[in-house]
Order: sequence, then C-alpha cells, then structure tokens
Amino acid sequence: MANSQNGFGKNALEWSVFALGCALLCATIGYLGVEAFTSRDAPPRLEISVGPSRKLNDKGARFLEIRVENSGHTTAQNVEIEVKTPRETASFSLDYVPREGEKSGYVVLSQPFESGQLRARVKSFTQ
Amino acid sequence: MTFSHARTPAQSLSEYGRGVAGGLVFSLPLLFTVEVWDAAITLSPLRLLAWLGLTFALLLLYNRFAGLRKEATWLECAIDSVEELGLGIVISAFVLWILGRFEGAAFNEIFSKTVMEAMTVAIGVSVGTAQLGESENTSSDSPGDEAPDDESNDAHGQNFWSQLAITLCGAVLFVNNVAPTDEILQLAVEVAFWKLFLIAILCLVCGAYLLFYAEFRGANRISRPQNAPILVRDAVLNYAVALLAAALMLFFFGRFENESFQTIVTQTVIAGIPATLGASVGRLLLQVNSDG
Repeated sequence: MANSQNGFGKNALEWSVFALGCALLCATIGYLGVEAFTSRDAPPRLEISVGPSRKLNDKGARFLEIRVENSGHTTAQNVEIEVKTPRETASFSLDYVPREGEKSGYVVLSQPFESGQLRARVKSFTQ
Repeated sequence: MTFSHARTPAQSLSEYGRGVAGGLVFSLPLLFTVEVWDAAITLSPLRLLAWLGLTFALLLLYNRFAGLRKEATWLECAIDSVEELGLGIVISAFVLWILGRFEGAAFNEIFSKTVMEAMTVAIGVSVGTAQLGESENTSSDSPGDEAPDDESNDAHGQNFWSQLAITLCGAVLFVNNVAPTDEILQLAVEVAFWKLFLIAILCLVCGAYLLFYAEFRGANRISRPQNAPILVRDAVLNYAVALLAAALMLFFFGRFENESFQTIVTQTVIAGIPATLGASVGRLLLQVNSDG
C-alpha cells in the first residue's frame, strides 16, 4: 500500500510482519484478558501423586517421583514436600508450582518399605 | 494513510535483521536471568497486561522521538511498535525454547515466560533498529501531512516532552537489566541509610555532570543550563525520571510484593543507580543516530 502521489509506503514484507505482530498481540491480549477476568484471587490447590519406586543403587536405595499439581489460580512458591515411611523421612522443595500447572521432584529412601506404608504431603508453601 | 519511507523487501529484511540482532544484544542478559523466568510465573495476568501496555507506550515514544525516521507520524510509529512487539514475542519464544525453558512446562507457564521476556526483546529490537542502522535518506518532498509538531519548545529550541520521553526510555533500558534480580533487594536491606542518602546525592550530581558537562557524543543536543536554578531543575528532573523508571520496573517485576514502604523506597534508590546512567548517558546514546 503506497501513497498515490510520491510512492512512499510499506511493501508486502512489512505488511506481513505487521499482520503477524497484530495477530500475536491480539492473541496475547486476549489470553491475558480472559485469564485476568476469570481468575480469582484464590490460594493454590496442591495435590500430590506418587510414582512407582525404582532402584537407585546396589545398596538397596530406591527413588520415587513425586508430582505436585496446582489446580488453583495462584502460583505456590517455596513448596516443601515431605515423604514418610515407618522407618525414615525424606523431603525436597520446589521453587514454585505454577497455577494450573505441575512440577515434580524425587525422594530417595534407603530403607525398605511397603507401598501402602508411604505417606507424602505438602508441608508448607508461600504465595 | 501516509508513510515517510519507501523500501524494497530486501532493505526491509536487512532492517529486520538489525532489529533481531539489536533485540538479542539488549535483552540477552534478561533472557538468561532466572528471576525473570520466576517473575513471569508469579505475576498476575493483569500485571502482565499492564507490562505489555507500558512497553507499547515506551516503544511508541522511542520510535517517535528517537527512532530512525524523524518524519514518521504517530500512526507509522504505532505500526512499527506492533511489528517490534511481534518480533519480540517470536524471538523470546525461540530463545527460551532452544534454552530448554519450556521443558515439562504447562501452557500457562510457557505463555507467561514468553510474554515477560518478549517485552524487553521488543525494546531491544526498536533500539537496535535505530542505533545499528544507517540514517534514513528521506526525500525532500515527504508526505503532505508531516508529523505534527504539537509540543512546545523552550527558549533553546529543545523539545521538552521529547527529551523527557527519551530520558524515560534510556532509564528503562538500563534499569531493566538489574530490576528483576535478587541483588537489588539484598542491597536495599543491607546498605546503611546514610549510604543510601549519599547514593541519591551522587546520582543527582553525576547525572547532571554526565548530561551537561562530560561532553559525550550527542550532548550538543542538550542545552547546558545557563544558571544554577535551571541546572538544579534539570538535574532533579533527570533523577526524578530515573527513579520513576526504577520504581516502574521493580513494580512490574514483582519486587514490591509484600514489602514495607521503607524497603520499596530503598530498592528504588538502589535501582536508581543504573536508571540514572540510562537517563543521562543512555539518553545521549539513544539520540546519536536520530535527527530529532
């Protein structure tokens, strides 16, 4: 599209880049707008799931994946996870678990345990 | 719709290449900063929207008052700003993806990180395009409705509002690199109050010196104050804009969350150091290639 009198104007490439910018900008504003409008100032909702234990080394130690899912509308920060068996306690921390997202970590248990004896919980977090 | 330039696709591609290079040059430190990644996830969607709006306003001001084309109208500057934001989003998404920042992340997290980083990249694209390119050779018979000169000029012929805008852009460009880091908070709580006061005085004095007396390239655009009251006025204004930029960046990176008023003020003073450099030296650098 050029000015009719002096030939100044944008070429097809420039208009294409502008169109791409418009599309990305509209999508960004739209998504953020919907998120801002629909999200509530509610605290995080953290749920834990425990994966199967796997052998770590020949000395009998095993490790498990612990998944933490946050179905709330606020990011949980400094999340402390504790895993207990009758014989030992292990823990790890996550810098954050984003809203409507999940993060995972691993604990190592050196003492044998039955699957039904394992307890995992969120010990603490901040917002 | 009138435009101030006419380029071939090859020339446009070259300019976009400079913009991409500039975007990476000016935003690379932040693309590698974990505090920015974390801030993206903890900030609310409303805050991210406001950050996007502020970035667009900064781009608009920079393109209009310090950009490559002095004859560009506000509409043309707005179009350029949209292009720069689009490029910023694409570049930041690509860099974060190739650095593995999206591994195992939910869409929400990927989106927030991309948008957060894209704003700084977009500013870098704009500055890079203007600073790394050659001056435009615009025709003498430029479009009939030229960019309206609706700002008032002081006695020295300098445009007050344009200088204010460029000062803000320069300050934001410099403070952007340190505002999200934990070190600002650490310094703010550890540095003694009398030293913070001294820092403020030094920033005020050094900012004025760098702007009016150090004779940097481009300083000829800035009129040296003719008397003490005007010197004090301009020095205070320069530092005030620097503090405003520092406070804005700290706010948008969530560094004021749950902090006391005292800590907010001390963080702003600490971040005011790079912001003052940007408001003075950065302001001169941003105008080197412009004919504004």
